Amino acid sequence: MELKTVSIGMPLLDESLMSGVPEGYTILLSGTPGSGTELFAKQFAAAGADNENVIYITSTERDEDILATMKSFGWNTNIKIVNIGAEYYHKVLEKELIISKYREEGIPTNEIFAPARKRKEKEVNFLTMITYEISKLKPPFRIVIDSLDFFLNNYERAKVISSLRTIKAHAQYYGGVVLVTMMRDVYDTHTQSGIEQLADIILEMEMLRTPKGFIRYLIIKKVRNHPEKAGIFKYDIYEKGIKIVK
Amino acid sequence: MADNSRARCKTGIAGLDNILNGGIPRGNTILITGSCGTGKTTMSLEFLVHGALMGERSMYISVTEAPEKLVENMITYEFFDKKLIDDKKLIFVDLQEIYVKLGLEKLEFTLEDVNILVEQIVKMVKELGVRRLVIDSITSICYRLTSKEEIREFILHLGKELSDMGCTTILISELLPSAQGYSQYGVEEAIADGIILMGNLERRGDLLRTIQVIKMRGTTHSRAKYVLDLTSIGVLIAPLLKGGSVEAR
Repeated sequence: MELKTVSIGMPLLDESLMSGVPEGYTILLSGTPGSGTELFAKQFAAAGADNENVIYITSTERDEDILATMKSFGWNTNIKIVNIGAEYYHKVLEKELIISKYREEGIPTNEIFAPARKRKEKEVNFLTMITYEISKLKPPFRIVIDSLDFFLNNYERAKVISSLRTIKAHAQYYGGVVLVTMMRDVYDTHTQSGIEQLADIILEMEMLRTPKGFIRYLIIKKVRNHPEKAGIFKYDIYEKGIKIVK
Repeated sequence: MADNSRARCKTGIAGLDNILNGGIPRGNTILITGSCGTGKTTMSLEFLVHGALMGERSMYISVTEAPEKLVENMITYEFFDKKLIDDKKLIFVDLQEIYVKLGLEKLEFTLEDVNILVEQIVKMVKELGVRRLVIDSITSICYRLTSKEEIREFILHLGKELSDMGCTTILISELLPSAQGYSQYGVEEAIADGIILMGNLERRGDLLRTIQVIKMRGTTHSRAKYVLDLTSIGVLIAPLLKGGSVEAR
């Protein structure tokens, strides 16, 4: 039986993989800062916008910045953005800002007797929240998580990996695809290998500085059951996005 | 002697003021120490209520008990007037709430945390013009400090600032029945300006509450052990009849 695949949004890369990404697959994309992983994530999201339910989970950008970037490349923006960054700011950072102000200046007299918090307000677990969001997705779907770093930095590593496993299982069951971005070489090997084991495809983006400018490389590090597909490509950024060159 | 020159903070508890030759020297930070059920909280509250009745703003910082519950307990006392709270002469502060606001909901405080907490208490005392302060209990704050140095720093720093503002402070110290000395960590007692020890004494089947002033800088005082009675008109202090008594901390 031939595998049903979906496009990654970059023809040459599709070709080098399995004529696209097989449904149910989880892709791990890591890269050095500035290499374009966020752009890759958006291009990947846009490639599914026509025919799939796309959910784009971001922890660093504002919705409008994501949409503006996508529009500037002429991509389809019919995606659902879940903005963990904004939520996080609202629920956690804002509270921390007030705390640091109080720590610096002391609590103003009129605030001393005000209740510190509504007792019923629960702590938000963003990890649970996105897992829940994803569980509601109707197939066919495409999930982008940009980036996993946010969760790795805020939650127990083992819990993050376990959530990722849940998300992967969900995608496998319903035939969706998942793209997860992550920073390179910053986590302990245990975490790193745990995540890499879950991924069916691992891509890496790298930049090399030369006297003539940057040379960008996209590395296919792993394709499950297809070690022969590993390889190094060059890529460039054109007006329509990232383009792989032979 | 300095006895007559230093202004006194009358506790309003007749027997205790006698023992102290007129009251606690103003600005002192004293430790009231004893195991549970010996009347530390009740006596401290009475000290505040009498202060408030005399027009001195009094503040109670509670670490372990909700202020609402304390107020409820107070209503039974004849000398207590709810108006004191409405008029903000008597102020209750829930330290747990302060912890949340200052991001101190953690088991161990750093030195920075300790200083922030001291600054906050000092700020409240200064801005609200507090003349009498009770912290119930210092033990549960010290519990979060990781070393004796931190505890020392905390009490010294706090005591110095409060004394400079002329605020008379009672630190309540919880003592385990098995504990040696007068405080849980041994540091508090060395730094405090005064120590009042409260205890239990068994006499022919009765359990009596006792009170004894161990030390009080700035005044002469009796060091005898007295019997303490918690009544609806407040704390009563009477000389101890020693016959047949057995220490029961």
